[in-house]
Amino acid sequence: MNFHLIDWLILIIYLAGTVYVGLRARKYVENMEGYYVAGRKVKVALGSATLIATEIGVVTFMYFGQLGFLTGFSCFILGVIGFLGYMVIGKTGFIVSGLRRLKVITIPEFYQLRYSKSVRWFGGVLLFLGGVLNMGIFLRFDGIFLSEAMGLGEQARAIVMVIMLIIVISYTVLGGMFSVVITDFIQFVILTFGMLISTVFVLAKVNLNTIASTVVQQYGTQGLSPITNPQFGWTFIIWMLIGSVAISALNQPAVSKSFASETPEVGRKVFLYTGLTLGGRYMIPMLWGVAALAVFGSHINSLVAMPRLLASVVPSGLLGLMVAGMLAASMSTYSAYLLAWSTVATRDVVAPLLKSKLSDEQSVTMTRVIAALIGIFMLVFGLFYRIPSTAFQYLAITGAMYAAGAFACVVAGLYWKKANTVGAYSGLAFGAVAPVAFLLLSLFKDSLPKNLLFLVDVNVSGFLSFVLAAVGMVVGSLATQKTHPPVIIPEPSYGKQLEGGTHVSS
Amino acid sequence: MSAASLFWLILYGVATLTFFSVASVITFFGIQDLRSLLSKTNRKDINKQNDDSSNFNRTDSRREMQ
Repeated sequence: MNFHLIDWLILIIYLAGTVYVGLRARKYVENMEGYYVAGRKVKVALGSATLIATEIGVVTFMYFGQLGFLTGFSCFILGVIGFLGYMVIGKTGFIVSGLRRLKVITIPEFYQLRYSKSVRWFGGVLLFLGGVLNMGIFLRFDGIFLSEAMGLGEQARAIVMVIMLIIVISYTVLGGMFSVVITDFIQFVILTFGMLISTVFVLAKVNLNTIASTVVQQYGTQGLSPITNPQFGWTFIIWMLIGSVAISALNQPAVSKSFASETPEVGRKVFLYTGLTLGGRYMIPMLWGVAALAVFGSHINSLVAMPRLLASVVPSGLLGLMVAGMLAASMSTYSAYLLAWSTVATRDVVAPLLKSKLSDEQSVTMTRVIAALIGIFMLVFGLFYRIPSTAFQYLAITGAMYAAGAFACVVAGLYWKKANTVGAYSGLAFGAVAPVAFLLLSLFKDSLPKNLLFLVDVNVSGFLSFVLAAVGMVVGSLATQKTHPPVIIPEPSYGKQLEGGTHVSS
Repeated sequence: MSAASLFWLILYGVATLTFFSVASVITFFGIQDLRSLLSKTNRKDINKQNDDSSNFNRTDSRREMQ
């Protein structure tokens, strides 16, 4: 076992402190908006810290580490693309400012404002399913990382997964967005420190010259060029360029940080400052993965190589801090994701089906129950599901399942007057077709006819999802302008529309 | 070391330095933001605004039910 008494002490103190702070945050929750969006009072630096913490988890380190191990430097292109995606949003306020201005709590609420209540329900179901499937593998990766880094072995994975889940659910369920924001900030500081420690010790163990020559020896030019690397290529790059903007702006856990911000301008700036860290967030764990390749060679399992390297280079004492940092990263991700998807399920999937309106208290209680159920699903899914591609590509394709349709609906809804309900349905449905086909057909890959094999190419499938969603939105809207005239949202705010008694009802 | 390797490593260096620099700045100002969020005065403002908003929604839902 790599963990010594001092490491355990650090870890236990950290965990106990986090749960204590998270639970104490309950006292700030006095109504529904406090629970879901922290009263919309979050400022730039705090919003940026919580967004960064949300977007960095052990799962992020694991899939980027795996990509670095398997593809060398060529995967660094993802850091550049991610940076560009956030910069587009952060500089222009594209999507996020428009949604924040309308004071929605979830993305499907916008569908009801701009399209119809049934589009909200349909979009809510897709968003929830895609989001929960996307999140399904997080716990598994955390189990692998922690059992490797702590030297507990494979048999301890399930126990590690259960303990992590209980800790995160306890404070997320009770404290809502206040807990998430406060604990995210603490976790942001600790995870940054953990990343710094890990990077310093990895670079002390393996110098950059050795890393560079290992990449060339193992992969040749494919390790240096994302164009020639068979994992990537142009289709992947174009898909990621569109997807990075779409998923960044429409990933409910991330965009909820913008919804929680003080003003639309603050929401935009949160994306801008987070964007500045994006390149590092991607490339730091990728380099750990490449360094693991240099140390262990290519014969080790690509998933366990990086955590095993960290466990071997970080000395006792600091290892406890590093693992606390990694745990912090995961817990902040889980808490934000659990809250986001349970909020969507409550407000956009279950509530519209009920005859009477949920009170604030009922709404919060239902969100808490659903968050706990999602946690149980994650545990079962994480233990038994086998992902059909690299972890990164699995996450990208499940992300595309909801983001492609949502991108078409939200962008057209905000910036195109002719977008209507039929276009929204078509965009959402068409956007989900290719990713769903990929996930289902991957199970029968070997028995597929050759002319359908392109459907199980993750890059083609992801790219197609955005093209189909856009086509569905444009064709569906233009073909039905007379039968389904578009709804224009009156300015300036959601609340005032309710007061005005327009068609919108919740 | 080839030019391509050097290019990626320089990019890595810039991205890593930017990450830790921005993280330090965010930590410093984030503490002030967190204090402000949790301060009593601010909480009163939030609750007042949200009470207004809740009353607002309740009025609206009554109208819908009618």
